Amino acid sequence: MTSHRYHNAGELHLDTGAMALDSLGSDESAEFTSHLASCPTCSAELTGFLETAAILGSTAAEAPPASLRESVMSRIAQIPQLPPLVLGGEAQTRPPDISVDTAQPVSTGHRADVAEYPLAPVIPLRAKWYRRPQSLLAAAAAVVVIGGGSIVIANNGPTPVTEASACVAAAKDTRELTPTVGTGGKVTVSPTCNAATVELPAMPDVPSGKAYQLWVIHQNGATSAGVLQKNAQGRYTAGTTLVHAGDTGIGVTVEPAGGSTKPTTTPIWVVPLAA
Amino acid sequence: MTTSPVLRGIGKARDVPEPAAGAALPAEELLQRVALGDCVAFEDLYGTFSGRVFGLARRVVRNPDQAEEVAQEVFLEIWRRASRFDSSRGSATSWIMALTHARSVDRVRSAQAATDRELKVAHRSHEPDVDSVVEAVEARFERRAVQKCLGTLTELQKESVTLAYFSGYTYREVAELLSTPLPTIKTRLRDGLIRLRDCMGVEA
Repeated sequence: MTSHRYHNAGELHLDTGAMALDSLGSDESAEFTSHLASCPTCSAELTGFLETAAILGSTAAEAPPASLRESVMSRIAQIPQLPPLVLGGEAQTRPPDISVDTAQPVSTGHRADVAEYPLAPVIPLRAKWYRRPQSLLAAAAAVVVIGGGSIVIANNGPTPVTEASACVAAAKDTRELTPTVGTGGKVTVSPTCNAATVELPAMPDVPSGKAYQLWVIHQNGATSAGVLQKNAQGRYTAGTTLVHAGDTGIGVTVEPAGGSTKPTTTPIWVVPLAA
Repeated sequence: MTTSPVLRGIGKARDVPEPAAGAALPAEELLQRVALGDCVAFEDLYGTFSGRVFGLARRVVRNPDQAEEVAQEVFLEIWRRASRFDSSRGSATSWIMALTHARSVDRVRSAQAATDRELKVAHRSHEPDVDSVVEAVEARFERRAVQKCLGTLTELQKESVTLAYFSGYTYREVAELLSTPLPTIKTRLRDGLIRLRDCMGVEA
């Protein structure tokens, strides 16, 4: 069908209901999913609708046959679990929105990951800097589109960062992006690797009791990519970090030593993830 | 040794509401433990959700054997993907039920089924068997609240939401069944969910 060609943002917004009910076709749900990255309102609405649908679905509850428990319990012993997405060797729960793991058979459309769309939890009354820049968000949406959805589809699952680094180094689809806040340094992003190698500018020693912290910025906020360490040459380095559809930028802030769970200061360096 | 009646009272009050088996921990916490390979937590999670997962699968795919397969698939996927659950993005119930619904719908829309259904939709008269679907759904509502909330929907909204969610129809199929323009169906689904959400007190 051609309907998705004349979708505008306003029409897409109406898709939240059909989306929450798994009622869009796969084309349209793919389109809607990429729209979500730039539409926090839609994400929030979808979150609420999914909660609503879950309550509705719960009313269908009925006792399962005993054989279900047996078959499930006997099988889990043989099924490996996906590790949490790992960043810089430090386990953390990254937003699971876009990772499509390798072991998972490609199913009939994106509904398979319906539980993992980038959903906005709460929209703060006063937007933080990392939530604010609409242009940044729009740019990030562009990345997804330019990449032909490859960020979404490219499937690296929990790529260890060392592999991600090699992947970016060897990738043919890399783009070099420069900061819009701060000067110097660059980010080399590869959609097929779902990763970005961050080269920081020379930065002064952070004041005592403070630390530089790297962030992956996305529509729901910012996820820590770790506290920056100095290398042997006394230079702060950031290495390679995993990025996903919906990620809109890479930034650095000054935080209390040890880092924060959310940015608490204005960033000193930001590279939007766009061409 | 004796305790003052007041203290004893407090102790009692605390001790009394022993949570039912399987409800000892919030599902979010169970999922976190499952992510660490905790089989006991997984059994608790199974106990908490098996009725809902199987029931929803059964409602959507109809055939009990297929529903059991879908439910098994869902639980194995919960086991495998538990580490990817992020409580900041919605409740565990929402995550699990969305997964269940998606897998159920995948099943009914699998290639052969899709062909059959298209034919069915194409050959259906303009008197779809909507009433029986809605009725069956209503008959099973255990929760008065949900029933009450469904009552806040217009008949057309209720019909559309029910066909899409419980029968697993795409909105295009719903439009076809109800001989209604596509945008109207999308709007109905969304408006219906807004009413349900607001009535159920789900935080938007």
